[in-house]
Amino acid sequence: MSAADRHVLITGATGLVGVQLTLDLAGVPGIHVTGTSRTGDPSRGVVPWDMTEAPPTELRRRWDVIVNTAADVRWTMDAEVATRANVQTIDGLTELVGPGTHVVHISTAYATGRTGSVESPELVDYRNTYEWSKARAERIVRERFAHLTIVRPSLIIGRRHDGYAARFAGMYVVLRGVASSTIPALPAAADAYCDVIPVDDLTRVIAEIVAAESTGTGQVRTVAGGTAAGRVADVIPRMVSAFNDWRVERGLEPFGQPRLLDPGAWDRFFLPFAREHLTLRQHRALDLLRTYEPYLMLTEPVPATDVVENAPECVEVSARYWADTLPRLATMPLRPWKSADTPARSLA
Amino acid sequence: MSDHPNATLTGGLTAADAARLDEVILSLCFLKPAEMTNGLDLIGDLGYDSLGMLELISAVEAEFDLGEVDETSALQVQTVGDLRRLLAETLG
Repeated sequence: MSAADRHVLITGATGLVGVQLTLDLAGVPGIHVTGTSRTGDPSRGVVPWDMTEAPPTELRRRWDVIVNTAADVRWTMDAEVATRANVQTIDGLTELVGPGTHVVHISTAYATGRTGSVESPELVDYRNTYEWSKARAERIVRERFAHLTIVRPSLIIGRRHDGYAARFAGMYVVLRGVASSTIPALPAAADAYCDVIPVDDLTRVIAEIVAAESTGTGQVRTVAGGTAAGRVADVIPRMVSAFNDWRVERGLEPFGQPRLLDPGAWDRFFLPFAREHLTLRQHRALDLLRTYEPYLMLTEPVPATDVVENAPECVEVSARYWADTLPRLATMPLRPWKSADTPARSLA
Repeated sequence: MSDHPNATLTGGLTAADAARLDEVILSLCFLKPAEMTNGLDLIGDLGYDSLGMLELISAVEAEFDLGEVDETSALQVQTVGDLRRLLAETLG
């Protein structure tokens, strides 16, 4: 082992970012990676650790770099769950951070919420509890860790060339809504930015930070398309078209493209009509899917420091990978919206 | 209804139906438990989210050709055992 060797801990190592980062760092000379996650993965040597508890013995050593990718990225969490997953986990992490440890904390480009800053402790200043909890986490890591880099990605999709993703979150909810016949229309600003980035574009930036000589000066790196990001009116149809192509290739009926509705028209006309006729389950699904709405109305670009180019075209391969991975969902039959009066199969 | 030697282990389902149901459940989640038991929480233990729970119900309906199961009961499902019982009652 040379003097330049670095021991790197990746939290959230079985998640979307953690898996790809581990792949990127594998085989890099002088970098020795250990992964940990709540569930662990013995087949890949990932150590199980619930970060709200004390770290296990095998993780108690000197770390040169800790990349904190662990997070619960659901937009529908209640505040308590979001706090436990995205804030309290930093307590466990703190026990492993030594005087020379460079902490690379993965946040989100949307942690600045509605005000453009992470400083507000008020939930109302954020679009959801996820953003709110990630903002609070940023404030805490800034206070605690002397050697810090914060990385803020926009909406992460699968790998650029093949769509591979270890987990599906964020924009995949649109695909899920279409596949379950729950989204006939989307409240969206057609010219809003839909800032998606391939996961490997993000992990390339993180890997460069890990390998750099700098031990972290509190810099914030925002990895996003910024003004180069696609627009909703382009990205969503691309995603749904790719999914439909996948279905047609398998002899399945394609879904209709969800209509993009002005948010005002959606609230005034579509929703009241829909509410009147939907089944209980469709009501629930619509409520859940509304969590993505704010991300389809962002007319200001993400202020990117590390600009990801040509990301919109990657949504197609990501949609196909999603369908390949979850064929049971992707091959569901098209179900027309129907009245709540339609009788359901009763319990015995 | 059940030919399983211990039907309580499968929520009243036949062993074959329980295996089909388990396959559906596992095909839609990323966390794979060592053993499928009634007590497993679909969100906490298997990684489903709220939307995923609705997708799971739809997938079960498609797999077992059920049309639509009772909505109120379906929305109360939290565990593997809840889903097994719902399916057993619906099939019964």
